[in-house]
Amino acid sequence: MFALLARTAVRSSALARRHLTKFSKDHEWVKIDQGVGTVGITNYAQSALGDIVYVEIPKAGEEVTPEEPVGVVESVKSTSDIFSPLSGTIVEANPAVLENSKILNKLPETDGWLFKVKISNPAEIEELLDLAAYKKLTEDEDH
Amino acid sequence: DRLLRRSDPRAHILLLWRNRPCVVIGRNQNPWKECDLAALRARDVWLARRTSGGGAVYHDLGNTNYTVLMPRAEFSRDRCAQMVARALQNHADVPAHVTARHDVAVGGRKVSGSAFKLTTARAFHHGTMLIDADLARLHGCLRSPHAAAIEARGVDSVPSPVANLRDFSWSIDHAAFCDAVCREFAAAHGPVSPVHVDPAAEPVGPAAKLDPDGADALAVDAEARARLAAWDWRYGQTPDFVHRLDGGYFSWATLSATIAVHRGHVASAVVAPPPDASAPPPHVRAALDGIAHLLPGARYDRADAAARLAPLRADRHAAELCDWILAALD
Repeated sequence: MFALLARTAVRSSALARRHLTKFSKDHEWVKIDQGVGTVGITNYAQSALGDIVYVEIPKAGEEVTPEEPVGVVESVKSTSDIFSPLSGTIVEANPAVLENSKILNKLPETDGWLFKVKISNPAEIEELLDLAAYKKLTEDEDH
Repeated sequence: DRLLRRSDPRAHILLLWRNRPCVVIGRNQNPWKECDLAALRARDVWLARRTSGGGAVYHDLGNTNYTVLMPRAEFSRDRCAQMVARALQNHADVPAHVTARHDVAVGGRKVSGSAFKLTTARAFHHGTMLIDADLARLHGCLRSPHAAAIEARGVDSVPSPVANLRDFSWSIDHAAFCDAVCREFAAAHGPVSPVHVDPAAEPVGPAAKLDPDGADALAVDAEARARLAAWDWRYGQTPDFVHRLDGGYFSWATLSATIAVHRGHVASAVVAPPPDASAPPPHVRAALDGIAHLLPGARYDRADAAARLAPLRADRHAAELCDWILAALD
C-alpha cells in the first residue's frame, strides 16, 4: 500500500512538472503546464481556414469535454467548431482574439491562444498526438 | 447537420429543398442589424439562424436551396458553385458564373448565395437559388432601419444586386433547376441513386441522391428542431452589440441612449443628455435612472422591454421616453 502511494505521488509530481505540447486531430495544439492546458489552433489550421473574421470561445468556469464543441471560428462564410482536446474547466479565455480575430491568422501558436483549461483527466493527454504524429497527419492530408 | 454527422464521410450527397417565406441569417449574425424585424412580422416571414457562416438570405417557394456534403479533403468553396453554374449553362441555357465571393451570378447580378460548414472529416456547402422569388419582399426584409445605429461583433452581410433566374429564362422552374443540378452532380460523381436515410444511421453509399418522398430522409430530429426554433438560438445566439439611439428630441430635453446587449438580453441601458447640456431636472433624472435600472435583463424585444418599463409609465415624460426606446427595439 505504502509503495503504491509512493509511486502515485512520484507520478503526480512528474505530471505537475511536465511541460509539453500535444496536438489533436482537429488541428488544435495544447501546451500543458502544471495541470493547465493552453489551447489554440495550429498554423496548418489557420492556413486552411483562410481569413478569420469571427471567433467565439468558452468563458471561464465552463466545463468542457473533447466530444462537444466549445466555440466557433468563421472564415470566408465557413464555420468550424472549436473543441477542447482535454476535459476540464476553463480558467481563462484570451480577450485578444475577441478584440481582433486576425491575430489567429498571424500568431495562432503564440499570442493567438484561445483558452486555458484546468485538466480533469490527465489520462486523456496520452491519447493526443505528439509533434511527429501531428506532422504526419498534416502531410497525409495534403497528399 | 444530421446528415453531416450520420452519413458515410466518404459520401457525396446532394440535397435540394425549398421552404415557406423566411429570412435565414448566418450563425454569427445580428438579426436586428440584418433585417427589418417589424417587416418580417407584418409579412409573415419567419426568422431562422443556420449553423453555417456567411450573410442573410431570403427564402420563399420561388427560391430553391441546394446542399452538397462531401469529404473534407475534397472541399473547396468554388467547387459546388461551379457545378451549379455548369448546371445552369449546360441544362438551362442560363449563362451563370461563379463570383470572387463564391456566389453564382448571371451578368452582374447575384442569383445564389453560399455558406459553408467544415468539420474534421466532412464539409457542406449550401446555397440559395432565386428562381422566381418575391424580390420586393426580399429587399423589404433584408434592409434594417437600425443597421447604422448598431455596432456589433459578428459577421455583416455584404449586399449585392440580385436577380431571379426568371429574368434570364422563361422555362426555368424548381423542377427544371433540380433536374439540371442532379445531372451535373451525376456527371461529376458518377451514377446517382435515390436513397432513404434511416434515422437509425445506416451510412449512405458514395454519390447518393436522396429521394424527396423518403420520409426518413427528411424526418426532423425533434430535439434539433426545438433547439433551432428556440428564441435563445435565433436571437440569443447574437454576438454582443451596442445600439445607439440618437434623435431623442423631446420638448423637455434632448437625449441619446446607449443599449448594450449580451446573448439577446439587455446588459445595460444608459440614457443621457449631451455632455455639454445642463443637468436634467429631478423628474427627468428619475426617468433616466428608472430605465437604467429596469431594462437590464429584458429580452431585446419590444414586448419584454415594454413589460419591464411599465412601472415608469405613470409619469408622462418617462412614458414618452419609453415609447421612443421601444420603437427602436423592433
